[in-house]
Amino acid sequence: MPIIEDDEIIRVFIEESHEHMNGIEADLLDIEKDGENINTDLVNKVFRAIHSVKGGAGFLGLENIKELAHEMENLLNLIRNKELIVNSDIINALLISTDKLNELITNYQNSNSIDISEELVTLKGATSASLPEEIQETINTSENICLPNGNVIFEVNTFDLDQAQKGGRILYLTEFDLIRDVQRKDKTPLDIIKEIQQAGILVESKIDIDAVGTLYEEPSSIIIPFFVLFSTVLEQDIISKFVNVDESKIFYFNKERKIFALQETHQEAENFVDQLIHNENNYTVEESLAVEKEESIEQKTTEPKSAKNGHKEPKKAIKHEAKPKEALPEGKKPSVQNSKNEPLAKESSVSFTSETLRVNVKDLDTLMTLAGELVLTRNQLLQTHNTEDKKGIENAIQRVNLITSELQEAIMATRMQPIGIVFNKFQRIVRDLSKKLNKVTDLIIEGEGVEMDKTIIEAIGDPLTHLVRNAIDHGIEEPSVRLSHGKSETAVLRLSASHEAGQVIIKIEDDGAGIDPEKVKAKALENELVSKSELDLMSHDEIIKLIFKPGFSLAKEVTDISGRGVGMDVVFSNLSKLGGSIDIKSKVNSGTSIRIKLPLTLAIIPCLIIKSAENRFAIPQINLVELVRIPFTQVKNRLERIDNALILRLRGSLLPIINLNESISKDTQTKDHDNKTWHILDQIKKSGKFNNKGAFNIVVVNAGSFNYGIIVDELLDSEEIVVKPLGLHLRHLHTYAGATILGDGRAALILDINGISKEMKLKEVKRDAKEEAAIDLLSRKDSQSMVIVNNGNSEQFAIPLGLISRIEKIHKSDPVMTSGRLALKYRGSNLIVLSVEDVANVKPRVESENPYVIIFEFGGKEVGVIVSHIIDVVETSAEIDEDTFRQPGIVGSAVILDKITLMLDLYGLAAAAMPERMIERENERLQKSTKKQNTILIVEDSKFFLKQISGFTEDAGYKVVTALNGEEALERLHQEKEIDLILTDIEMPAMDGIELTRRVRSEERYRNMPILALTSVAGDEAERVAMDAGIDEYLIKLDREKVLSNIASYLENGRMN
Amino acid sequence: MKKVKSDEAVELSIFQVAEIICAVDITKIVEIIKHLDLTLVKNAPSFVRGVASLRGEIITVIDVRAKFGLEPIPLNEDMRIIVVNYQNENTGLLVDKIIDVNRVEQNSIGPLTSNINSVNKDYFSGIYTMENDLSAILNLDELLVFDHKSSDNKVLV
Repeated sequence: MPIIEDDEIIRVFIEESHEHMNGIEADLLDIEKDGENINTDLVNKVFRAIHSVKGGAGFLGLENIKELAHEMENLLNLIRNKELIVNSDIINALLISTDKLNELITNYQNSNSIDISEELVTLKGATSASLPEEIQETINTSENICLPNGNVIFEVNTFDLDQAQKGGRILYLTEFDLIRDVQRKDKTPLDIIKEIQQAGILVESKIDIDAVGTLYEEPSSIIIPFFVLFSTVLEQDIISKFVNVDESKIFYFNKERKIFALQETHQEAENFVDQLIHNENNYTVEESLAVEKEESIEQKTTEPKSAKNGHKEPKKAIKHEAKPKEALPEGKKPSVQNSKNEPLAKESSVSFTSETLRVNVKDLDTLMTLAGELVLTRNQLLQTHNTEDKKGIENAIQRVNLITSELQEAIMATRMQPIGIVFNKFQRIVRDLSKKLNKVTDLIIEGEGVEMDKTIIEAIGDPLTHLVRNAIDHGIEEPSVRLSHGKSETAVLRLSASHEAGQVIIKIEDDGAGIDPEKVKAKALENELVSKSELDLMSHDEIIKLIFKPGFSLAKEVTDISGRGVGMDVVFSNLSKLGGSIDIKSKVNSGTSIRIKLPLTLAIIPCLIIKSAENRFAIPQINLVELVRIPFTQVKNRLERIDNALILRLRGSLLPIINLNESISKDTQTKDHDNKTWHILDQIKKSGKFNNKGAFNIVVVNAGSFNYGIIVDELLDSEEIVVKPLGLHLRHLHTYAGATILGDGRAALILDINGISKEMKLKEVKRDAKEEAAIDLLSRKDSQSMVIVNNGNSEQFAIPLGLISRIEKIHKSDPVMTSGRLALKYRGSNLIVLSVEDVANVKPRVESENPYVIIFEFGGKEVGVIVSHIIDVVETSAEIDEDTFRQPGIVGSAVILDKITLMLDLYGLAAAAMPERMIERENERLQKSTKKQNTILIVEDSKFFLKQISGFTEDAGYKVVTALNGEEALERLHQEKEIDLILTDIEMPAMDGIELTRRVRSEERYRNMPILALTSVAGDEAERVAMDAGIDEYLIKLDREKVLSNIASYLENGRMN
Repeated sequence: MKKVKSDEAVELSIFQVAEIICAVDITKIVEIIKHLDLTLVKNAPSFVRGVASLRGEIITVIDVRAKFGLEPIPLNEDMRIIVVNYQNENTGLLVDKIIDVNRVEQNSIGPLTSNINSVNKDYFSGIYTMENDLSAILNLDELLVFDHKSSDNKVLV
């Protein structure tokens, strides 16, 4: 059979086939679940998909695809007709075949030389096992389909012909002319096949090159016959209209498979409209086909022969098919080259799946509109440029700005794909694995509609597969074990995706055995990943996170599923490459929860641009933790040189610091600059003073499991940058994630934060025990990080750092008055900007050239407070006077940096300035409360902290009950019956948090009440005491995000043990 | 445009790298640009002069001097970047000076002679004899081939 070498046709076919194949797997699994009560629609859907693939493949000469699809179709047909009851063997056969079919379609050029015998035998076995004897035979026999003149056109399986003629369908043979019927009508043969498939069953098709010009003696024109054998319920009188071919080229078959010419029937029919003699018509038909009779007899005589051989035939076929495979060990290439379809194999095999994309027409329309607007604006720009109309240019630039962002968004939208594409693959993986490992797993998929950029969707498959496999292999126990632990036999594996703050969160949660920290410890020691003393200092979570270290595997033995020790660290680095991060929580016997955070897109990412030794670099915002400025005067206390490493002290923790110039260069040229850092440092250390009024700028970044600092020369700007790949000579460098082009047209490199930490072999710095104790003692008091600001006058304010989302430096002309309120264009939307004096009775703000806007979240939206200067960020444990200066927006005062400092109440400020937002919030809360609103009891002796904490928890939509000490808390707990969670301070008068917890836990009904401690210190000893008392989590007081995420997780999941 | 049959004549762009006169078939050249603002890439192989943005694309610029084992020199006005397409990527070649474009009969291109001793001979595919000079035709495939493992070793040694 000829192979069509029209690239376009093949491409369309392959694309469509991929679409057809998509989802078949899931459907098959559903069919399996349905069992006896088959869902005919579903089976039909799969059947149609396979059928379409078969149709195209047969025509294109992709024999193996056709054959495999054909066998699948047979089996599906039996299921559809309820002649066969599905069982897992049948579904297995279909699944394996689906895999193979996918493989064949992807490698269509070589598909004819890929061995499919195994799948065919399995399918045939499944098909024939269910059939009565006499029908079984028909599977292995074939018949010749001939034209009335005796030319054999097809050799077709008897079973197929029988199937095609079932249900009143009529079998037709049509001869299309490739030139007149196809090409001139602006169609492709594939279109014809598709049309036919819509109305019937396609049995065979081929283009008969050999027959060109020989069939009908019409010397003037050349005909390229294209034969299609199909069956349909359409009657003889309308079939020619349907296929749009001259009647003389259509033949049909009766039940005995004798061929009849349609045209003659018709001519006769017309005759008997005149003559009104029916019988004669029949007679004529019979007579006209007398020649054919002989032919069919001859055919019949050959039939028994092939029927006899029937049972042996498949085996023979297998041997033949297997031959190329036997030759394979010599190397795959020769066998491919020797195969007969060499012309097609010349192109390297490419999968089309990733090269084309379905785009919503609406998205395209948007793009078109925007492109149009862009052109108009360009014209406007050119025009105004010529007239030097300044105002006009400004307008045009603003429009360009707007259109560009819209264009960016629209283009992004076309690239977005639902994560379900990836998630749904897991149905199969989970099924197969569970079966293999004798486990029972229920896979729950949530949020499959969450959309992400195509590149990310394509790249997360592998890491996710790994995690899912791990969960089933290590996490989920065998049913008997589960029963003995009091769990249900069926384990639950939950895959979910959701949006959070412009990122996508993917969670993989199981209710299996969890990770035993003791085992992790032992393994880590055994593999010398950490030292004993390091381990002792680690918290539970930190220990669990050791599994992300390279060379770590917990599997007792290496299985083919997992346990080769190249597991989690690969997952970790793969996700890092995508700009994502991973977090793991696990409790023994109650399960493991893995949380992956990914950006929506990789192509455009927000970055901080920094300068180091005259070079600019971009640091992805996702890696950014904070910026620290250390004046040379403070260097002595904050920077430490240990061996050859630089260490920064930051709020009680130690961070490794690198110098960009040193870290990413091996050459000697830049050593000078590096030495300068050392030089400054040495001088400061020696003299205790440094005359230069400079400071070190340190960017603190997160490399997954730990943070480190990067010394940079200058912080430039925060920008959305377009990521460009590096060329092949640079692609191997781990230190760069790519490059980008900055506003001035120059290239800048994007730093790969994880890559650098690997290259530099950075690791977490651990405090020694003595120091730990000192810090512990020091911070026993409520110490907090405060941002100290002023408004250009004598009054000084403090804002707790933990409540602030971001601080932006703006220009004084940036905020504009709109409808009586100051607002700022910020990240594509309007940010309301408040002033302290709007609410509180303080001195008015004195304008500065570059005021700062402190951004925090209020009522689910961001709000800013404008201040003139930022003085410092300090760690303070100063006593807060909650009475003297109390007023709206001010919660108290303290002496910080030798000055009376007013404590700003951000929530109070926002609430007073924007009462309407409060109403909105209330409404939202009411809406939420139609479900069930969770009540949180907050116990805190400092009114200042109490106000802040209840501020952000209420803001998050919880109902809040407060108490000032443990005793009061117990009272409240007994009064309010419906407390869902307790947040408590540790150090309190009357009754402290530890005692409170003990009391609460002692009552049976509060056994499962989640209790979270809020503290300013994370001392290990204190934490242990708290945990022993029954506290579930030990959190830093004003770390808003962490506190909220923990509340949400505990309310959702309850106590973990 | 009339196509030149490859076995009859080719057009060569002639340029200079240190004392060596080199040539590249112009059909292999995407464009020639005056040196752009190069961004240094630390940790890169020593022959990479930097990266540059060329109409929205980041191209790697290879210092041909360094490739020839010569000391790189600071950028000057005469220097040009010849952008060639190698393995579907645009890559820049930093050369000292562009001299000319010559239409050359195939038979005036001869095999390599032994007078280029200092440079890896694999980098050249032939010699074109000009009126009063010789020009070595660059073999781009050899010049730009890159295996980061072997180059890493070189850096370490």
